[in-house]
Order: sequence, then C-alpha cells, then structure tokens
Amino acid sequence: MTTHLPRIKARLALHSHRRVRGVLQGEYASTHVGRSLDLHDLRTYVRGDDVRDVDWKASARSGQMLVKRYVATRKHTVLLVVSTGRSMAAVNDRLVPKQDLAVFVAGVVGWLAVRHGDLVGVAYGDAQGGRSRPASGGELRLEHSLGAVHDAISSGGAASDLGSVLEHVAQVVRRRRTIMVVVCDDQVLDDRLRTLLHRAQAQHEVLVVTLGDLDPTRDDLPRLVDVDHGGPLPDWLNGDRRLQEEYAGRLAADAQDLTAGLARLGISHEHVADHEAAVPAVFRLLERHRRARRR
Amino acid sequence: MSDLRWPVLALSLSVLVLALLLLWARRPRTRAGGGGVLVAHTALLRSLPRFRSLARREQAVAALATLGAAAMVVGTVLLAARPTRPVTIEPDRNGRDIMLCLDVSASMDRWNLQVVASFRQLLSELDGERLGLTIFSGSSVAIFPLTDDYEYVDDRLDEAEAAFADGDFDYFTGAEARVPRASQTGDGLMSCLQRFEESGEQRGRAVVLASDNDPLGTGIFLLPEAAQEAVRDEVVLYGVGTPNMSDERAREFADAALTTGGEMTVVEDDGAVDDLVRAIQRLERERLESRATDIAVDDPATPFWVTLGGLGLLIGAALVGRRR
Repeated sequence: MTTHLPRIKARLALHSHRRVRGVLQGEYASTHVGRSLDLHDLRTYVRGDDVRDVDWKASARSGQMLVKRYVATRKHTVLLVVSTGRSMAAVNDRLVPKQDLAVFVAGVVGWLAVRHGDLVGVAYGDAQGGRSRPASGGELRLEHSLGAVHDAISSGGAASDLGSVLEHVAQVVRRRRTIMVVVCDDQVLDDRLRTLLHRAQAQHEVLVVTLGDLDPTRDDLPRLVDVDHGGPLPDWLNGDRRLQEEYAGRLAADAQDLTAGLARLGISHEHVADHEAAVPAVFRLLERHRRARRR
Repeated sequence: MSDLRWPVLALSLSVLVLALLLLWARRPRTRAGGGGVLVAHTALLRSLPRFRSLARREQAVAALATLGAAAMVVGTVLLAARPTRPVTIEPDRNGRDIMLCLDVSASMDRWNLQVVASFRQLLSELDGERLGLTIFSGSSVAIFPLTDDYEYVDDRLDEAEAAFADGDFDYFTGAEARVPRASQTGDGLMSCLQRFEESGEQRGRAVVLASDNDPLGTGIFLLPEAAQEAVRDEVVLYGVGTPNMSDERAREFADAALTTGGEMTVVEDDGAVDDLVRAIQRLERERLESRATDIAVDDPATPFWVTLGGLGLLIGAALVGRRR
C-alpha cells in the first residue's frame, strides 16, 4: 500500500518552518488551541446558572459554589472535494500525473487541517456519481481517504464531471459549514457548474485548486494517448506553429474566463503545475482565504 | 476486356485479402493504446480550426494512401491471375516456306548488298510466308530459321546489310571456317534444303539461292546433284545470279533452277524480284484451309499500370505525410 502522508510531510518539511508554523497557527481563524473535548474551567456560581452545571465535589473541596463551564469546541471541517474522473489519470504540462498531484494537494490541505485539530472529510467522484467519507480527525483516517481518492482515479474510469461531485456534496453535507477545497482539472464555467459553485459558496468556504493539462502540440513529446478515446493521438500534432499558437491562445482565454468567473463568485483559486509549486500555492490560497474571511 | 487465365486464384486471393482485412479490423485494440503518455481534454484541441484543417489534410493523404494500397492489391491480384486477351490467329494464310540462301564467298562481296536489298524487297511483297536466311561459303550458317515474324526478319536483314556494308568479317566467320577453303554452290544448296522441317510436307517450299556459282575447292555435291535432291524434296529453287557470271556457270545455275520448276534471274535485272515474287505466288502448292483459331495472349498492361499507379500514390502520400 502506498503511503501518501509521509511523502507529503517530507515535502512540507522542506519549506520554511515559519511559513508552515504560520499556517498551522490560525490560518483559518481558529478559536481554540486545546484538543480535548473535556477541556473546561470552573467559576463561581452566579445567579441564573443551571443547577445541573454545579460541580458538587469541587464546591465541597473549595467551600464555594463552582459551576463547570464547557469551552465551546469549534472545530472546523475541511472538506476535500476531488474530481476523480479519468481525465485525472492523464498528465499535466510538466508530465506529472494529475492523479499524484491531486492527491498531493488534497493531502497538504488535509494534513494541515489534521495538525490543526480539525476534521477532514473527503468527497470524490466522476460523471457516474460521487462518493464521500465522513469528516474525521487523525492522520490514519486522512491517509485512508487519500488512498481512496488515489485508487478512484484510473484511465478506465468514467469521464470527469466536477458538477456531479458537487451535487453529491450538496446532498450529503446538508447543514454543516465547511472549508471546501476543490481539486479538479481546468474547468470551463458553464451555467450548471456556476450554479453549483454558487450554491456551494453560499454554504461553505470554497477554495479551488486547478491542475492543468498537457499541451499536446508541443515539439518534444513522447507518444501520446487520449485518455477519453483510448487511442493514440496523431503524430502530426507536434511542432505545428500555427496549431501551437491557436492552442495557447485558446488555453489562455479559457484560464482567464475561469479566473474571472470564480472571482465573480467570490471563490479563491490557484493553479498548480507540479509538486514544488503546490505547497506555496496552497499557502497562498489559505492566506487569501483568511484575509477574505476577516474582511 | 480481358479474361483471367486463373480466375480461381484471383477469387481465393481476394477472399484471403478480405479475410485478413476483417481479422485486422476486428482485432482487439488495447485501450491504453500500448503505452504512451495519457492526455486529457483533447476536445479543446480538436475544436481548433487549425486542427481541423490539419486533420482534413491528413485524412486526404490517408485516403490517397489507402486508395494506392487498394489499387496495388487489386492490381497484383489481377496480375497473379494472368489477365489474357483473346487473339484470333489465322495461321499460315500462305502456307509457304522460303529459305533465303546467300553465298558469302569473296567473289560475291560486290553483290551481297544488292542481294540483301532484293531480299528485303521480296520480304515486303510477302504475306504470311515463313522466311529463313542461311549464309554459306565453305560451310553454312543459319542466320535465322524459318519464321513468320517479319519484324525479326527485318532486323536480321538490317544486321546483314550493316555487316556487308562494313565488311564485318565476324559476320561470315562461321561460313568461312573450313580448311581448306572451299565454296561450293551445290553444298550451299544442300545445306539450305536441310533447313526445312521434316513435317512440312504439305507446304510449298522454295529456296532463293543467291550465288555467282563460282565453286572453289572441292565439294561434296555438285549443283545438279543438289538440284535433284531439291526435286526429290519437292523444293523449288529460284536462282539469283550475278551479271558477271560466265555463260557456262549461268547455264548450269539456270538448268538447276529449271529442273526444280523454278527460274533464274540476275540481281541487277529490273523487275527481277517482281518475277521472283510472282513465281513464288504461283507456288500454291497447298493453300491450307486457314481455320481462324482463338488463342489467349497475356495482357498484363492494365493491372500492371494500376499496380504501379497505386505504388506511386502510396509513396507520394507517404512523402507528403512525412513532410512537415
């Protein structure tokens, strides 16, 4: 069984400690530091306190009326939403498998959340529907969740459809407000997706990380196979200048549309090219999110 | 249109080709495409106008290549089955064999060119006869055997003409090879008589003997003896003499010709060849009842060009496909 978390930790360790500590301490405006559910203090009874809250033993020891006061434990829930259609089995422009990159990005966010004492849930899926794992704390659960995401992505799977995953989330996560981190490939914002994202943003804090695709018109490529058709891509694609220009132009326009569309929805967005860039991108995303929340 | 000599072969080859095509089309294709880097979201790429124009070009090239390959397969299958063309042959309309017999001894050198010219004239007047050419001096050499391929005859006469014009000794070497040197008209005639085929009994047979009847050395047969042999073989002898022959020699030659029912002319005579031709035409020993028969002749031109065109198309398409 592949282990995802150790590798993520190893990579995070490479980044400056201060950055990491900064992220761990209050990137998302946490209200508490302690972990235990039993954490509480005692104070003297004042009129109006519930009699059931009186700590009789402590009162007897100290000679004054003491009541138990529970700290309102406000744990965040981080919901990792990963599109696991077959397009995620392809590679991106740095020839990095998007599968690994998606698991890595989700793992970084998830691990930060776990270290922060928050709950991490995972929802993933493709055009055939979504699946989810309930929010829970702990590295082991996170490791299992990441494994599930990793295993869900295969070139023989169904087509990618972020919309259907979001619909699944909307059905499953009904009342809870979460920090929803969406990891998907480059999307074209159509009406359905815009509506779904809008609805998600109304309930959750939505952060989007997109992973790009390989430009198949580049000169220096090995044999390419279309993940959707299963057949090889024609070899006359490589090295045609006009085709490259048109493709780059179209890609840039689409990226701009996506950024502008997400900005209109108030959704923070980062594009991740490889593992090196993933960690700073996640930090930037969380930073921006924190500022936005304190607005 | 042509027929096929082995239609069953064409049929079985076609079936084989179709079976292979079917097998190829139905073979299981691996989904991963046999290794390679996976790419997603190619729909964006496919929607580009440049992609479409490139794809159209590639499609056209592939279509041409396919057409070429198909043409090659069809052409080769047809070639393998040997396309034939029915040809109606009217065999031996003039069932005559004529052996041209040319004395190439030194004394004839002056006249040989003229004699060949008259042979050529004779050739132009004939139609359907079989001709052969033998030269002799001390011994005889068959330049070509009896044939009705007049183009071939013409070529060989060209050769002879060139040889006589240049005095090309190589050409006569065979005829001169005997030691001691000899040149006997009688022997020459005998050897020419032997050039006829044994079974051609029903065909009119003639020897046109060009000689100055100037014997050198000792021979085996005298001219009259050879003439008797010709009579026995039912061969008519036509003599072509030279103007400088002595009367005695000329008379001997003419007698020999007359014995066999032929006649003698002199090479320089006006109309000498005409007379000869007329005499030969009279030689209607038997005009074989010419029954037209159909025979099949190989006619591979069309499928050959189809195959070659297909190959050209295939190579052209491959070159265009590579050029980028």
